Amino acid sequence: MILIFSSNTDISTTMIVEWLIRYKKNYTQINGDDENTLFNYYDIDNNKLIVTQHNKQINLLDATSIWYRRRGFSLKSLPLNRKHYFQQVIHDIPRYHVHHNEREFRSLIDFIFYVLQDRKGKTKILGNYFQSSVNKLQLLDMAKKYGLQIPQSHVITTRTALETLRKKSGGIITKALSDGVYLLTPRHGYYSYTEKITPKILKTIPRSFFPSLVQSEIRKKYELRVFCLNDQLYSMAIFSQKSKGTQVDFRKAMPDSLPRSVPYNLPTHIGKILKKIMKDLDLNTGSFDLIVDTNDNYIFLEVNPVGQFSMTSIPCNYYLEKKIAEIL
Amino acid sequence: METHKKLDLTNEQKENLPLFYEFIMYNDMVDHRPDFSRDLLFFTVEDHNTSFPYMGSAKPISKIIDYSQIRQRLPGKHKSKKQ
Repeated sequence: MILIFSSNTDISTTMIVEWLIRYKKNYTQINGDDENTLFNYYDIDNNKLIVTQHNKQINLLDATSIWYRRRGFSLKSLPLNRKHYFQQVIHDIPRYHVHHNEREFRSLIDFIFYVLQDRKGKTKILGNYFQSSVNKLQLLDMAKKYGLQIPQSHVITTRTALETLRKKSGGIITKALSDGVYLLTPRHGYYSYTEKITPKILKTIPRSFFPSLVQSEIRKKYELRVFCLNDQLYSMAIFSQKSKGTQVDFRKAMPDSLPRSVPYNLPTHIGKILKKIMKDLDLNTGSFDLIVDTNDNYIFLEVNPVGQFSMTSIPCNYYLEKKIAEIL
Repeated sequence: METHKKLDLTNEQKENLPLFYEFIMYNDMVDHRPDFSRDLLFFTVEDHNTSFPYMGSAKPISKIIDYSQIRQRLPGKHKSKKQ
């Protein structure tokens, strides 16, 4: 059995599942954002980690391959009565038990993935639950130590510091220190991107704010998205400079002006460094973002262990979904 | 129809949020839009001239590919080698 941890809205997972069906491979998909899978029990002595899915009991330890795409479990994996779950328990702090329960559940999930990932050798494993969110600042530091160029980066809290940086660097951008916002609620979709701080926006910013990542803006020739799968690199150049809307963040492309995206031969020395970073992070899948500036320098931005890869696979005909299905 | 909106944050709220919150955009999910229709295999949003295949998810995501652009790039006729 192939075990997939993902989310309901992940199209890449759906595409891989289509290949698994094509190959007649038996799989179980556990989504963190639906209530189709309920945690039952873990029996250490008898090697049983049981969940129920569509009224069928499944022992997750029967898995021969595991793909940690993203999420997998959440509180939706428990049969909670939401009406009573949020009722105040501790007198002075209304949601104390909710936060405490989340920590309890996190301990359980951490342990489940510890058990599953400890089966290396017995089980093929793609992805790494424990490295699904990598610290961006730590990554920049790591890339710099390996000799890659990185953008000038600052974490600041005041408009004065912002103004000083803007004067010094020319252009500055801001983005999330951890993950940006990509939130789909029943009625709305919320998104955050990398954004340029213009003089007009500067005026709307308060004197002080929550610690924020600010980087110097890089004059791009093109962007690179490099997907790493088991030590193989699949690179794509994105000519996002051509359109004003995508100059700062190519994800803001409108359907009628998608930036030209083509397969790309990454220089060997850059590829070697990216592989070293993957090894250091104990990852076998991940999506790197780099920029090639107008002076042909390769500038490292980040690696996302659970990033989208179909956006590289489809325009470049890499058939990554097929390759992943074959590995599993 | 305006598809993207920005959060309406007060200065006091901004003081307690990272800078990127200033830029967060949101839109209505496509299945809550008046021009949304659905048949067995495709979701369609008319004012985007866009349809995308049903992926089996409970909810279609709102980041979508404009297939009309892809169709336009396809050559009109193909001749096989046998012909």
